[in-house]
Amino acid sequence: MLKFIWNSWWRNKQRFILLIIGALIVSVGLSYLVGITQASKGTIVDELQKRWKSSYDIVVRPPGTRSVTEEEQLLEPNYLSGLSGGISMEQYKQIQSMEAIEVAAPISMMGYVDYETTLKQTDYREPGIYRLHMKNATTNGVHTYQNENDLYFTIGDWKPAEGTRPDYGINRYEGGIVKNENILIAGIDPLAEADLVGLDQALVDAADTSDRFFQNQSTVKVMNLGDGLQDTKIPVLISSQAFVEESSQYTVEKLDLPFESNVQQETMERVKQKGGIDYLEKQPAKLIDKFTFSTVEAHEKTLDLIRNSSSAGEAGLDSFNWMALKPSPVNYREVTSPFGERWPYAYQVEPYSVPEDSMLAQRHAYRPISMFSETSDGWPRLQLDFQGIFDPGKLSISKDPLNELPMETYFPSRADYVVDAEENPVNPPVTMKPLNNPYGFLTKPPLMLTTIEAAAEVLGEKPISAIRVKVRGVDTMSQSSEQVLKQVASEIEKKTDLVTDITLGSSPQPAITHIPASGDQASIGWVEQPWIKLGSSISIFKESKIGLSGVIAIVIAVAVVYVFSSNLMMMMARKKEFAVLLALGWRPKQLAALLYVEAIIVGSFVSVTSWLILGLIYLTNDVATSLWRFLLIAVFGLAIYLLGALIPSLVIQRISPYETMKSGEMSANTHRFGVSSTFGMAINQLLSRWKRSLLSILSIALPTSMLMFFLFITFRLHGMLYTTWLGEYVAMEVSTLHYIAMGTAIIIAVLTTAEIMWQNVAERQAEFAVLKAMGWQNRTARRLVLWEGALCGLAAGIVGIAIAVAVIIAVYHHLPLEEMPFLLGTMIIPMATGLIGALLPATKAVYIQPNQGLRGGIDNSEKTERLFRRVFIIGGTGLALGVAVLVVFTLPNLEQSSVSSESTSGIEVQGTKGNIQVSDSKEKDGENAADHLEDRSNEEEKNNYQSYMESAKVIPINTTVFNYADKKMKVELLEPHVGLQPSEEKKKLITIRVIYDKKDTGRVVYKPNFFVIVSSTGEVYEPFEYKDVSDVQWNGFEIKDKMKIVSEITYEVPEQAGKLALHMNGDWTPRRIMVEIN
Amino acid sequence: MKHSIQCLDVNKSFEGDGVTTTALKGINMSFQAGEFISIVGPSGSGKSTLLSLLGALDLPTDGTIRFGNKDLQKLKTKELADFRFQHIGFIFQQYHLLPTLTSIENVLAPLIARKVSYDKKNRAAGLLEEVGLADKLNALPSQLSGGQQQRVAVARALIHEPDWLLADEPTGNLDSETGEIIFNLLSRLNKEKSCGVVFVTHEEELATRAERMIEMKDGLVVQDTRSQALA
Repeated sequence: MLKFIWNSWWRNKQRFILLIIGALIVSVGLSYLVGITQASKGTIVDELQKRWKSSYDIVVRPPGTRSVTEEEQLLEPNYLSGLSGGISMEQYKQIQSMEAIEVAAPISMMGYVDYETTLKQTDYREPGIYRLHMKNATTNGVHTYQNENDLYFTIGDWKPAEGTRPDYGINRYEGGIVKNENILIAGIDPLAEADLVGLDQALVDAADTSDRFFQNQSTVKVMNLGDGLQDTKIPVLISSQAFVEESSQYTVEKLDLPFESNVQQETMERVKQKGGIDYLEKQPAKLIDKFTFSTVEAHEKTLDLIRNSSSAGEAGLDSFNWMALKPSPVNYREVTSPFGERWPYAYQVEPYSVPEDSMLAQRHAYRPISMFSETSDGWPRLQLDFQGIFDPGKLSISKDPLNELPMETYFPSRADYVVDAEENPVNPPVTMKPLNNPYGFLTKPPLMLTTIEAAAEVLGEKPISAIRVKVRGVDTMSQSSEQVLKQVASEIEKKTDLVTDITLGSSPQPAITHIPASGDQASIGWVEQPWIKLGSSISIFKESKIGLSGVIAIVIAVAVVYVFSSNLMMMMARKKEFAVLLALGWRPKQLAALLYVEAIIVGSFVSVTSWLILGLIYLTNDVATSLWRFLLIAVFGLAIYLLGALIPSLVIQRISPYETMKSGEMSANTHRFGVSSTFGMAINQLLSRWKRSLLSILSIALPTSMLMFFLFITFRLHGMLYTTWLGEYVAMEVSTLHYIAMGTAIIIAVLTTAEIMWQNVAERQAEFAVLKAMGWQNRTARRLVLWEGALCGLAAGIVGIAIAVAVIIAVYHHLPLEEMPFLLGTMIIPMATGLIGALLPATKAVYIQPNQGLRGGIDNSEKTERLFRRVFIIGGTGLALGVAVLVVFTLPNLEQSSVSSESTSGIEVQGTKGNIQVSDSKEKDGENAADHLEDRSNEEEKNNYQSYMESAKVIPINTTVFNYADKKMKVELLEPHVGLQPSEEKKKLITIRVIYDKKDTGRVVYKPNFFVIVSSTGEVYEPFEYKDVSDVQWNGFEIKDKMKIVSEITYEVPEQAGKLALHMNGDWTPRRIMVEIN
Repeated sequence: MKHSIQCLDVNKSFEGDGVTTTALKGINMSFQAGEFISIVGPSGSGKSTLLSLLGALDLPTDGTIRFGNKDLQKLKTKELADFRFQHIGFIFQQYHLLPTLTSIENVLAPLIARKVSYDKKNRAAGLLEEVGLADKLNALPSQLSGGQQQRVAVARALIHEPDWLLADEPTGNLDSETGEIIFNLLSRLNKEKSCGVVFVTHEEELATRAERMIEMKDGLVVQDTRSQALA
């Protein structure tokens, strides 16, 4: 049996080589997909797993806080800082008590306390009127904002009475240089915060009482001061970082006004008379003192005071602080992006105006100004009881730019200035910093934290702005985790009527925001911020999971279809042979066994080859290996071939030995369609062999549908995910892989189609021969087969789209109507696949000679057949090489990208570009192979004087070549045109006039300028001069109507050139024509 | 022990495209072991169909074909295959040699995956020698002439010493001279190995040289002549 199989392979080498090529392609695909994909599947899932980790899973907000931007599942990066209360303590307790909830961390953005820092204690003794000139410079990274301010104070006995500043222009002065700042204070639950972000581990300087703070035992004291005034003493942790880049310069000058103790009153009265402060401003002065403080230094002063508070008493700290300002949100408006390619999402910030009499230092606002009350009566009075200092840098929160959640609880949110007001890109982008402005675009994070109880005490009924929730048992990424989160979120919504968002699995999505002019600030232009795209990891996870298992399944399915059709075609070709074996007494089971043994042999070959390829990859690329993956390859390799043999093995048993008696009979065609064109014939052919047509359609449709699906995903990724950093990262890795796999599948599909069509043509050899004998042109035969291929492709495209749409509906639950034009556009792929598959069979059809039909039977030893098998083989090898090249080239990239998970997305995008180039070079390989083939055939055409003479119509010169009703041709020898000289000695010129008189109206390609002279010595002489002397105008290569074309062609040949003949060929003649010149 | 074949009310019809073609209409006859029989008749008279039924390549639509005391239509496909192997040797107009196998491999082809009591190779070589192809053992079919190919086919049909040699137009593709050689070969084998021969032909001259000539027309046996009568 083995010997029998071997013989049937070995003595039919073309088929054997084809088998090997198929096996090699399958091997490459297998080793890549099963061996390598598994590895990268690991990295993607790991990667997502890593991203999946986040500080909190769900964020709960008060109702009505959703902004327009959230319709796009986009959360603005600053969203938490603008929320001022809205959730009650009861609601918080309800959430906290839910079974599934591990941590519920409330946060209350209470408000901005007016915090004074004494920068310097001065001790001026010389009586006089002093001017304190304060110059303040803050930068947001783009602009520096300066403001200057003067105030006057006196040293001496004279002191301004309360409320006399408008009169005298003099402030009261206690000797300290004080800086006022608005600091956001937030209430938190220390325990929850410790669980969530490790706040307890981030303390750098702890007071003895900080333990109590984290045990939630810090007390809030309300002190009644009488007159309805009350102070609230709250425990406070302060941040070690100030985040604002600001410097303040203080200059102290002494005015040249007399201020000795006896004239003080007099001088001041004069000042009052002359206009108070206006007068003072004009007075010359003498520099006394000058110092500068940065915000960091100022903050450090406060920290020092806190650190030393136990020893130095609380002298330096404020006795109480007003809290006048409430936090408020930025309001965004959707706008069209000026750079839609790069940033699909663009917004504009709503500007607000600052009232003239406002106490705010900055004169611009991008948030509505919101105060506890118009006057200080309603401002909470806080006594800050410092418990310690925390360093936000030491919190255990994600610092990974790919999944940074809204953590502006501890950090200012990030913004890069990318496009200026004139819409010119800013290069390099400038990182923006928050200003000391509670209503600016970027605000400082809360630098002070107190307890949620304190917040409740101060704010009253609904103190909590948001609750960040961590759900129990959600630590691995899976759809079930998503399910759990959804369930918990909806439970929270149901119980509390609050708004929830699942933040887990979100990824930053860069969006740009236009900052318009406001107050003293001109428009900056556009800033880029990492907005939070909700749910991106989960979508990506879903997609990559579908992709990864789907891709392998599809490639294997396509391979099975390939093996199946290959087997079936082999069976068709050898049907007679098998019938004979049955007639000789073989059992049908033996025939089936034959197929299975073949399948096992080839399957093992594929496995071993895959192992070798994989081994090579492992050796050269240092990829980790695993035993089961190796085993899996063997399983897949055998499975593909055994599954592929399954149905043929059943069919083969049903071959009737009676077939042997039905020699030469044609199987009955039951489908008859109006056949009046090649198109009709093609349809008829496909329908009459509908089973095999179905096979090629299926083999093209499968990869096509998946390709369409992946393109759709990419499309979607572009729309919603690709622009997120995580999406960009994953899409690159996922898509490369998918496209390589689908490319492999399509190559296999091409092979399948080619094989089926080849068999179709082989079986119809007689038919083609008869058609040709009846006068069919080569191109008609070619067109017929190409039509068949294209129609297969078209049908496959339709089936493919149907499958793709079905899959899309199954996965996304919506009909992709919007993307339909795009999907329809991808129909080109299957049609091209069908056409390419039909290319070689079409050429075979062209080369069938009319006499072959008369001889009958299929003759494998036919020279042309061999030639084209060769072409087929070279093409296949080219494809296989292409795949191999692809694998080798993409591997390093793949690895690179999985290793460089830390790198920024920009670099990885470049990685994607690299991959595209690789696939380009593959295409080029294919082209080269094709070129090469053409060259060969040209060469063969060149040196065959003798064989031309045998196969052509040979006539002497100066005769009529043919003279029919529809066409007439004459060839005459002329004297060379006057003035034309040979270029060398010992050469002569031959001028031939060819008259082609076409009398019918059809089109025909006719290229007289390509006629050559061939010599018996094997030389080919191309035209030396070509002259068209027709009376009519034509394009020189195609005659479109009744026309008489007269060409005078001059050739230069050596004087001793042997026998010469003009060689004419083309679609216009059924046979080549050789005109003997002597 | 050689067996004879009996046809009892054998009908055969083919269905295709809704049209039923009746190829054989109530054939009743028996073929005695060792007989040398020719079947003649015009195209479509059912002679090839009858031959394929005799050789169990196909089964009758109704009626019985009895081989010895076995009813062929009661056999399973596997048993039918074994029956063909044991008792029937087939020769076709188109020779139907396996193109990828050499002469001797073609002769051995029926024995692939079968256990037999004799030395396969010796017997195959002997048979090829007998048909005059001792020097062509390792030639591929494409390297042989039509007559040579048909002789390989005859050798192949004889490899398991069948009871009957069934030949469908064995000389149809051959010139008369080569055809004569094949005919003589069949007639010699009939005598020497006492194996029955049934051959279908449309050449009257050849047919009349058989011991018994069956003439068919439109699926019916119109005449059945014994050699005594012929002679």
